[in-house]
Amino acid sequence: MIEIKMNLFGAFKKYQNLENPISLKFNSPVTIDQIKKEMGKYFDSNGIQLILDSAIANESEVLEINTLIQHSCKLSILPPVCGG
Amino acid sequence: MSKFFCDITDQNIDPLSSFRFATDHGHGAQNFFFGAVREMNHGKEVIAVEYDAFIPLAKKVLEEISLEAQKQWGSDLKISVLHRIGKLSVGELSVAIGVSSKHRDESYQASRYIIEQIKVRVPIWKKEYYINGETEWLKGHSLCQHD
Repeated sequence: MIEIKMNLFGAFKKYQNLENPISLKFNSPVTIDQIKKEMGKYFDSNGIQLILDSAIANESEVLEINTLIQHSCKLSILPPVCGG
Repeated sequence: MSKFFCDITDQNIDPLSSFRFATDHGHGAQNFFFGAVREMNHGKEVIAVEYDAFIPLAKKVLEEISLEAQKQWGSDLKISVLHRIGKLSVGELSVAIGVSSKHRDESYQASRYIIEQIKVRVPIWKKEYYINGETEWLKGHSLCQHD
């Protein structure tokens, strides 16, 4: 089993009923796209749109949508950015 | 000695830290940009802004942006970039960018490049607090590549 702990940032933090990080469990390796679909189960329609507009990253890079995650790890979902 | 310094901090930004780093006896130009929390946004009165960041990746992207600026405007550029996180009141500094270069054109252009890239690439988010008690996470620039 693969466990992915997903850290939430920015607008995702308005969903205060959710644990942060969210723990997602999969029986086999998954792509970033599949992870985003699984995350959708935790959110309302506004949250699902936010997921679609968000990137998933590890601590060193944003991951491509077809990246295959094969081991348990910590990732972060990054909503659209607005620093400065 | 490194020619750039990038950091995310929960402490007040001291403008002098930018002055101290972005300086070189071979450089005749020092350019400093400071971003501050303003009291109005889209017609709403703002009393505070809270910044959130994915710190390890944010620092890495700030360093990538600084390297890009050095590649484009000169490897000798000295660059300091500091970005705040946490809750800031109106008037507090949210970002400080210092660039020094031999001549003014390079430092002006590099500084502008860095702030524009920060706004669209660095994993930082802001939540505005309004005088009427409402709050809002501001919309931004997506980091994911859509088909």
